[in-house]
Amino acid sequence: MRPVLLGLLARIGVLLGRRSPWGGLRAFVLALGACGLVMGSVAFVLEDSYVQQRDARAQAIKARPAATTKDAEFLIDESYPLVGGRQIIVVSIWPLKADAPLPPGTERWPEPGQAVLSPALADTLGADRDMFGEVVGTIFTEGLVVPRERRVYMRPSHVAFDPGVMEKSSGFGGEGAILGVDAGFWDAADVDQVRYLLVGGLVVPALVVLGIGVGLDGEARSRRRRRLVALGAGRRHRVVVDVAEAWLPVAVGTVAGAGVTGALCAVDVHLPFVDAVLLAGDARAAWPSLVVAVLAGHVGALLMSVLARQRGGRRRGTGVFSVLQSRPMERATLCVFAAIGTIWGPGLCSSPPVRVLIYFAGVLAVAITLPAAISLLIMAAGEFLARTGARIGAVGTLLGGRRLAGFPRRTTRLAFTVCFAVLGIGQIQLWGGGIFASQHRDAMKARSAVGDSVMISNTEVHHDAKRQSFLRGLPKGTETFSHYFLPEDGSVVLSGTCEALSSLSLPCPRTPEKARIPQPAPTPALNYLSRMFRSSDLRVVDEKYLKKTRLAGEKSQILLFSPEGKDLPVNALQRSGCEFYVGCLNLRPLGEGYLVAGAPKKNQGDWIVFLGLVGVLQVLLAAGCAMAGDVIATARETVSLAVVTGRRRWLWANALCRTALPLSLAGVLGSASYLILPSGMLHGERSVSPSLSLAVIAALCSVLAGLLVAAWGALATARATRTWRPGT
Amino acid sequence: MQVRGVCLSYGEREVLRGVDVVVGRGESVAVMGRSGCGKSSLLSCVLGLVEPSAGEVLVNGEVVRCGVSGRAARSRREKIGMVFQSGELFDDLSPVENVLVVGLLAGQRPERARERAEELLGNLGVPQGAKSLGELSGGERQRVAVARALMNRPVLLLADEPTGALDPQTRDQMLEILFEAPERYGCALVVVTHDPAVAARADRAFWLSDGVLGALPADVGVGPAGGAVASADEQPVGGAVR
Repeated sequence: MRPVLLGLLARIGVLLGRRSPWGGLRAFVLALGACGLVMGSVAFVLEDSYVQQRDARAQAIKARPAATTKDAEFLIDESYPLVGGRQIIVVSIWPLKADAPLPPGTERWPEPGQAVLSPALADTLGADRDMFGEVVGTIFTEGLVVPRERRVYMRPSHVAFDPGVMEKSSGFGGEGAILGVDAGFWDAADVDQVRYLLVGGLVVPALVVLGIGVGLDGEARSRRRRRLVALGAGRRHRVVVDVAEAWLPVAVGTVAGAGVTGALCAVDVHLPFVDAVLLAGDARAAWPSLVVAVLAGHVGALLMSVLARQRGGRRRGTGVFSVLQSRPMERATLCVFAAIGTIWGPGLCSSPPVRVLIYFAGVLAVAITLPAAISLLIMAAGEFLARTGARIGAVGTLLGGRRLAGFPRRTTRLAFTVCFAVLGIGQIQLWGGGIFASQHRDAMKARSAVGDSVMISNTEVHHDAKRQSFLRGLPKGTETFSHYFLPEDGSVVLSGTCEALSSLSLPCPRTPEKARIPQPAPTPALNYLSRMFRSSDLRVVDEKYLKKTRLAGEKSQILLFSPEGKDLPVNALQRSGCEFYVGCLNLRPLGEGYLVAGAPKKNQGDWIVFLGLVGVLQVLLAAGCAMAGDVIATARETVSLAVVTGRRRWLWANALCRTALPLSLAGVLGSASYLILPSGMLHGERSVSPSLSLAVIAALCSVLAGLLVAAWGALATARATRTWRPGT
Repeated sequence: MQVRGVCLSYGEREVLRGVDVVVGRGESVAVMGRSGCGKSSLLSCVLGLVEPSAGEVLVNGEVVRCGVSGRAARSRREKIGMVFQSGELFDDLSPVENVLVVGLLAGQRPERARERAEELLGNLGVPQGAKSLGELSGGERQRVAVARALMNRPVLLLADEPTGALDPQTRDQMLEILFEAPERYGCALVVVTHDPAVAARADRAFWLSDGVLGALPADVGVGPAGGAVASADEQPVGGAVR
């Protein structure tokens, strides 16, 4: 192609983009899509960089075991108690040499009874921040695996110090680091999951937005295209025109995406919803790849806009969507049956794989038949509004309703896109973040039944003077048992004072005797005991006699409980434990294992909801813009009527009916489907747990986006009334 | 309608230079002129959408205020009806609904507005059973446009190129209805047109050139058969031409 022709075609393309009445809207949607695609591309690089930097920090923090006593620089012990319902990392350290290496991220060794906290743990502890000792500093980012890690370096008090339970270490920086409890989903070991989520939450919605943007003003653009063809333009000529037309808005979107990327490289960004901090330093470490990612996003957006445009010339009514929308009554009926089957079907089967299969088949059937159902819904809503408008004399409602009832194809397509986006993101959440939801939910239930009235300390303590001192200092209303396993028959021996035993209506024998806990357990403490020791025989004994009968110095775990069933002062107990034991008490409530295992899953779910909502918002805005564009494109008749009659308020009702209503309907329908369809999968093996927050936020966002674009459409139309003149 | 010495300028360019014209009830006037001569600007002044730089427009004895809301809008709504070039009808609405929306916007009760719309459409010969405009011919659509303009019983009916998009036969039918309106509904009619055949139907016809209303040039082809041709020498009944 000659350069002169190339330049001319490019100029034609740029001018076409500018002169279209949809120019501004189309440019906005294309820019939004391009920005989304650039961010999706950048997110892949960032994710990789964050993981690499995280792993590097984890290696740097890990203590190296000392090969010999001579090599030992310090003693170390790690424990993971629950504080505020979350597991934290308590690192007890004790230097053996004056020049022992400092723990990473700290400025000096704490003195005995002092501690250095990470910022996130200081936030969690609040007023109890001196729980692990006097706070003498903060752990900097380089000393944390992830910025929001809850970690404390504490130096035990002289009373608590026990070299026997600590390991000798020659320094920090070891191989094979295990990620901390706060490593989170973004930093999860299975990085592929994060990548799938980035595709589903950022890339696919951005492509959908670009598709919507390219489709705006389709008829007028097809006319222009035919004109070009009539003038002798071939495919590559048209590609040049299309690229030139899309380039500017795509470039604007790319610049916006690059701006966000730059901001991520310049400042640490805290995302409160997922309780994560994106470190600028981690992002900067991958800057060459980030530049490539921005360019790749830009090129991808341009390609998408051109490819979608090239496909746009097909005859109306032959697309997949048109087929899905045909015969709406039959398909809508099928949709209802498919929904019922999806809800009830899985409950009729006991085999987990079959249940999942039925569920997915149902969701697929619903998705295929949904366009027809939405078509009918929108037409019915339009007809209802039109009738109501005519009856009560509301012109905007009458006009908007008739428009919906008469031309649902395009509106339906956009509404379906929104509905499908919500439903799709919902499926990612269901199957990505909720697999262990049932166990987590059961643990939460047990936790809420027992509360903090019973706790067990996994720290093994000796029957010695230190133990006695600790027990003497317990807050009032706290009783204790010790328990250990009898090597002879594997049964559990529970020892306590007669007061403690009798407070739970348990016998107080001099030698271990079998005890039976009535079912259902009358008190939270007994409930806890029966759940905890359900697979073992339980024996009880008066600890006064145990000391005489069992070995002095026997190691056991302490069980603390409130006979009245009140919550124990956990933080006070923990503080007290820190005074006597290395690593404090490691207190755990009932179901702690599931709670701990569920925490990363919850975090994973939060990330899915967060990124999913970003994707849904993109689609919502693009679909809303397209609907608002429809309102503006058909403004000719409304504007002249508004001017001649001097009434403009009805323009709002008209815009609301044509944009806010279908958009809200789609969002609410998508959210409701996401919540209702898995009803049959809520219990049993492979159960799922829909996120109410995702559904509610998506529905609210659709309503808000609908109102926003309705206001935009109405204001644009109202503005046009100021400049309308006869003959224009 | 009285237009008294209306002048209008866009920057240095004078579009209207002291236009005077009076149109009485039951009377029709056609305004012709080349493209860009100021016909639409004159309509805008009459509608109160543009403030004349000098002079004033009176409709039913009241000065037309300029503005798109408030009293100006109410006055326009109650006194003026307008037929647009391409009808500017709502394809989604039925013919009756297209007409009754104007009544509803004027604050009429829905039942009364519907009755009035049906009556008007019946009078103008528009099929009553049509569910949408798509079922109507081009001429019938224009009748709906006329009915819509008459919905609020205006004292002044304005028509901006009302036959621009019609074939000759449909145009004649449309003109029949349009020019019947002043006598039948007791209003004044002002038609802006390029079409000599339309001007020929009017009681009087003017040529707008250089911002001044004058007699039609001889080469326009409007004979006295269709209506009185106003000229600078002739002072038509009820109107003044400068």
